[in-house]
Amino acid sequence: MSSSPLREDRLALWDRLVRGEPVALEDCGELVTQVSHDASPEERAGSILLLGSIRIAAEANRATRRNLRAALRYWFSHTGTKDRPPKLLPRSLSDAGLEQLVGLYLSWPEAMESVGGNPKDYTALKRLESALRARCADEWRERFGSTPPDELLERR
Amino acid sequence: MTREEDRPSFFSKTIEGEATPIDHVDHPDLTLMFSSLEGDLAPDVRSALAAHLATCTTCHARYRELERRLQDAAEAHDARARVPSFDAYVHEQSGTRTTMSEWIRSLLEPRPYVLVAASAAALALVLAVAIPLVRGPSLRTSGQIELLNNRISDLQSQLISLADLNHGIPNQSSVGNALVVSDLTRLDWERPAPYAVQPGDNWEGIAERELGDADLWPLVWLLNRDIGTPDVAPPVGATLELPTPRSSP
Repeated sequence: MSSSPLREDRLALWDRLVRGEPVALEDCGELVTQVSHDASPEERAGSILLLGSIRIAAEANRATRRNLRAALRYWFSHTGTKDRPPKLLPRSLSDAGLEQLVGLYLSWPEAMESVGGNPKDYTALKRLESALRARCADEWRERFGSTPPDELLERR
Repeated sequence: MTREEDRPSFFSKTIEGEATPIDHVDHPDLTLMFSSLEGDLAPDVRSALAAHLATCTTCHARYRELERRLQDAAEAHDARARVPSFDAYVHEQSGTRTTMSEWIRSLLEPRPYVLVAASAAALALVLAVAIPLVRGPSLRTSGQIELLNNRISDLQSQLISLADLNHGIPNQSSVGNALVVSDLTRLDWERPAPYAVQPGDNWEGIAERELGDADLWPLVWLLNRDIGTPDVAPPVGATLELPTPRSSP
């Protein structure tokens, strides 16, 4: 474990995205600029994924924006030590931030339900990942001037 | 989900990396956590706190514990609010009267002789009690007092029977005591005072004696969780931090 002020700043922006609040691209742009070319792959991946997510949140249609929130909730809920209340109601998580989501280990239907989406839409995650992958690959090339990781290219 | 989807994707791996624990130097205090749970924080402060909690396992566990306590308190508070007041009970029973005073007035207003009779009875009762006190009880007045005492005992027994049979009278004691937000805000958690643990002390006893509310013991423990675990009394001689009464504005 190490101190990571940049990651904390990114997490604050992740929190706003998870809540569905607007995030200015400039806020993240500065953070990405501070990530140098010799930064760790994790640091660069985190910055680029945040940038791609903010772009989708700002520019995509309503359904894609909702799917993005659901996906972020799904991924963040699968971090940290599992600590899930026995009677968890996904609808009660409509305004939840990272502090509530971490450790909940939501299923995809629960994540979708928490943002008012169709819990049975299992392909929504695939569609969102595809859109996000394309955004992130473009951002990676533009920001770092190098080929994106294979994981961002494999299904394009 | 297919087997391919079970494989960690670039996204889930990256997000996991983003939420990896950080060795924080500073930690949020309980007041900030309370404010967050009550939704009183500005968006930037709230998100900064969320970022800390997502990467600090200790603070996150503490936050979850507080969240549960407040939810329990809110549920108990709701249950308490569902118990009707005596006025509401009278209203329910009489059908039209709204308060106990209106109910009594409605009995008296159309029947002034009832008021006269009640006044006379009250005067007689006062005399029956006062005369023996002044002049010493005669055999007759002693007998009257005994009759009155018996009557009062009968009425008390009837009331107890009614309550036992639950004749529409809510049993308020079943709600139990619970922590409410006002219990928390009357204390200043940011400027705690030291307290040396005495022989025989335990978390609940300290909360009851020093803070006036045994239900606050989980918060006392949370504030001093480095001292010990909640199921074991703090060691004698250890110095705890206890919140101080907040001075009224």
